[in-house]
Amino acid sequence: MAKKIIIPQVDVSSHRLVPKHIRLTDDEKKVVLDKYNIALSQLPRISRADPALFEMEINPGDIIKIIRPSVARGEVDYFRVVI
Amino acid sequence: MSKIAEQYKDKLPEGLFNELLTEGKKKKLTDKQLKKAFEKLYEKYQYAAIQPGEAIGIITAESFGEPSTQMTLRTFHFAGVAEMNVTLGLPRLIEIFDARKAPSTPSMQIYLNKPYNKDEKHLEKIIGKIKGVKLGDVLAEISINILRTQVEFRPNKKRMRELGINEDDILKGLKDFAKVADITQKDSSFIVKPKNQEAGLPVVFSLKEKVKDLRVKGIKGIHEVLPKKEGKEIVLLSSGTNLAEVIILPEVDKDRTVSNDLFEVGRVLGIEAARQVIMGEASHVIKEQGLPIDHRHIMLISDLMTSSGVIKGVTRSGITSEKESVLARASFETPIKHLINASLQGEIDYLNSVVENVMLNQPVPVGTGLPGLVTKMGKDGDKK
Repeated sequence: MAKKIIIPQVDVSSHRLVPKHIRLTDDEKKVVLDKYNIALSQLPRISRADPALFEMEINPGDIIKIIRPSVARGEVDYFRVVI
Repeated sequence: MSKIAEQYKDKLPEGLFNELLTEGKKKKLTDKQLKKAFEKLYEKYQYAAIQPGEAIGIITAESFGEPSTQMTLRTFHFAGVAEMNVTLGLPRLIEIFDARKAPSTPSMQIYLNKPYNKDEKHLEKIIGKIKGVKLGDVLAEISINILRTQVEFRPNKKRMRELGINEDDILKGLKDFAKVADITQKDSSFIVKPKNQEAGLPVVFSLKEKVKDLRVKGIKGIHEVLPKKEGKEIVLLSSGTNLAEVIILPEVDKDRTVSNDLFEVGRVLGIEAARQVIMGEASHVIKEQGLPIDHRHIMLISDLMTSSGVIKGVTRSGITSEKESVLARASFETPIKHLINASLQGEIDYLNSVVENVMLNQPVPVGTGLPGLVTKMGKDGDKK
């Protein structure tokens, strides 16, 4: 029997496993791409339907900045592009 | 913050920086000593940093490979409580990195909200809500009417109220029998009458047993829930997962409850949470075996597995299929399939990576093989 997939429409951003997701503005986007000297398609991806982006206004091509907690470094920024 | 510390704030990672600063304050270091300590730390940090061109993937593979040869092969461990098996050791590690759709022992850690997590009197109701209640547990009486060949039962109102179920829930649960029996409700008692009247008493008897075993309410996919004391608070361990439906219960702390099913976490909490679960589960297995490895190796694998926005295993259909080079893909598994497909599509291999260059006996772009020579030619090619 196939497992029925239920995605709850609840805000999960306060969950301890979900780091902070922030949408970057166009200017900030350019800074990130210049800093790493890469094209948009070379960034790791995140789905537009990702539950962590619940109720955020996002379009494909936006960059999401993720502030991850890290054992060694305190906080680390990670970037994903919305597909 | 002193001037010396300020200098190193951007050069050192936050964790190291803060650790030295607090330790320095505790030991009451003078400015001169603090400066020396920072200099030494910075030097050590520079040594520890990975050089450009270092083949970190191979180091990670070695780091995982060596301890996994020493892991107990098939271990089924008891996680503190009986009846609750959790796969650990090598099978679980393979399961995680292959990104199997369903873990062999799915389980959840359910944390409860404030008034419920300390007091044991609420436990029965909450467990009943998650695991479901057997109809047999709430019955005042159940009997077989031989004359009419039917099962009659009457639930205990008080017990039902205690466990938080009502008659509608029972009717809903009884729908499972709708194909084989007619269900009628009369006042507070229910009648289940088999459709096949010629079958006789044995059918009625087995029906009665089935009715007693029926699960009322409860969340689909969860078979067993056991309470466990964790420090001062009570945590529920479940076998079987259904994160989506559990976290919307009002008694459950939706910010801490986790599942060990990678795909479920990815679906409910997003790809970043799935990455955290991969890291947590993998390091748990490795630590449990007493063979700890650096967390950066686990980070590298979990970043790779989630970099495409969905969870992909380290298999030929997972992250290996994302490699650009045909030869690199062919060198992993099913080489003929990859080579035929590539030639049909006219793929080009630019030989940018390691494996294909090894195959062709060329220097690999790793370590000292990485940098190329660039020379500035003057105008019209004449030397300057």
